Amino acid sequence: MIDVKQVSFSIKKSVLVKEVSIRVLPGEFVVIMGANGAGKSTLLKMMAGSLHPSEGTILFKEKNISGYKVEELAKQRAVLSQHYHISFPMSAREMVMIGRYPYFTNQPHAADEAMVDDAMQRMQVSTLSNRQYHSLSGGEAQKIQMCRVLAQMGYTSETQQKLLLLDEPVSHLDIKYQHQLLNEAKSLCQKNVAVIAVLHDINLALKYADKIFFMKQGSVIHTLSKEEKITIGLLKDVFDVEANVFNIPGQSGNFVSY
Amino acid sequence: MLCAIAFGAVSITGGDILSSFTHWMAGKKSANIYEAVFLQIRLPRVLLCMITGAVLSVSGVLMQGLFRNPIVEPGLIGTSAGAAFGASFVFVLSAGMNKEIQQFAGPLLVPLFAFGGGLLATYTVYVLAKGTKRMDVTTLLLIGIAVNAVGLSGTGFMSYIARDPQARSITFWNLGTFSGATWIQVWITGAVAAFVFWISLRYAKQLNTLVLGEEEANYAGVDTERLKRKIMLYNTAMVSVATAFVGVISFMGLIVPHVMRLLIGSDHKKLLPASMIMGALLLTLADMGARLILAPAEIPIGIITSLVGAPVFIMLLKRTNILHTKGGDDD
Repeated sequence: MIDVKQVSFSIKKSVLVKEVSIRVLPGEFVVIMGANGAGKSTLLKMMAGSLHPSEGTILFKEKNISGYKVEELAKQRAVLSQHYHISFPMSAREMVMIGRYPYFTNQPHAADEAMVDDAMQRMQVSTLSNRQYHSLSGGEAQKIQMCRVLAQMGYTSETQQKLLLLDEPVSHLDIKYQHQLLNEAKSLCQKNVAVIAVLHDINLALKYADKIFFMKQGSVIHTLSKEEKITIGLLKDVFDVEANVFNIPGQSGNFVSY
Repeated sequence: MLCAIAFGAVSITGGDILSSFTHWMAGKKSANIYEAVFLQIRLPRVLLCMITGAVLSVSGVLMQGLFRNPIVEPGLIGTSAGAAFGASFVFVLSAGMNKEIQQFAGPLLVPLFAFGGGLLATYTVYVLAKGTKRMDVTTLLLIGIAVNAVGLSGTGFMSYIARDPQARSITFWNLGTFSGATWIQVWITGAVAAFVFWISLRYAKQLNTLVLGEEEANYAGVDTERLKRKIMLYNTAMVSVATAFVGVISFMGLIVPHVMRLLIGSDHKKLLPASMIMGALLLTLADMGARLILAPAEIPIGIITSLVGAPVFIMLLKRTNILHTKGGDDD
């Protein structure tokens, strides 16, 4: 689905991402972790196609991602960013409808309206429909943005491989909705959508990810797949903290306390 | 609209209007002075006024959407000043040309130079403001002031070296006036405006997306660079042409979109046509005022729009501020 080959990114003399090579397959849920300033968001933006690598190439469906038209790409991958500052008041529903804009010319079709309603139901925010976006709380706004991104993903089917990029998607959400959002993303994986998310909570990552890439100073220094156990040494290496790893009784996963 | 046609230094009755139309349809000359006033002076004036009002308001909406800022208007970011300089350049220059060239190129030369000046000024402001990484309000306005100052001093220099009648027309023109409206101006402005209105409606969706910011709009399928280039070009063309004929009319592009945002919200699909109609109505009203307050003399319309517009704008600012701090649910 997406093939990052020896990619580096630097501004002036500082290198933000250094010789990263990762590969994400359709249907995979991949999490990128690392300390602040490790280059996670920069890498994500390059995979989204908005930043161009200083070196190396990124292939999206076997074609260089910078070779796609903006409109073309919008129908195959959606991005949820960390911050949104909107310049004019807009209703929550219209905000979600923006996700459908690439699919119609002037007026939304009935299918677009239905998809917006569906996305808002899935995130349980239908009651916010007529609220003004700028009056929403941080968490509510984040849910609405997720709805917009879900609407942009549109109908997914196994034949149509799509990519979903999430940059700290649960930073403002309470525990229930953290799981709600990640479950939504995870359910897309069953339809051959590849999900790449930047997360800060290692336990959330362990629960949802098929594969975790750990970044430090611009490089991917560890890769952990679902079958492998996380170690104290790895956590020390990546985050520079003394952590404990517990087995959860009756479950295959681990639990990290720090 | 009908009032605007009827009232003025010369009153015109409904009968005059009807009979002038029937005469005109029949291809005959106007029967009396009233019909002539209506056909040759009043009607083109009211039409040009409506078109200009619509142009300035739509331009306000486009520029605000593009700069992602509710206080941008053609007067603040140099478009008008640049266009004014371009036009005054032609005023002075054309005095030196011979009569034939003047008659042939006159009506086209002014809008063309105004367009050049307006585009140059707007582009300069845009590039300089963008160079500061985050395009914040303060930088934008300060750069706007600087570019405006350059445009104004250029216009000032032109009127300094101009001969008396030209200087007078530059001065009057800087305050805006519809007194010289002719049919050819109506056609040129109308054609450009109609084209740009049509185009801008097609960009309504993309302008909505731009509310999220450029990077996000890009993710949502908007080629922001192309959008910016196109809107800047079309908008400047439309404003410059209107400005070339009627002069600088401030505050229209600020007030109308602001009022409409409060009334119907910021969805560009509705905002663009609504601002167009509201702009046409308001400016016609202002022009009526300009003609009637000191009749039979005339006040430049720019004086009226600024005088009425500035307090309304301050009032609006205060209201929206209160709403924003309360996090108002609907405004």
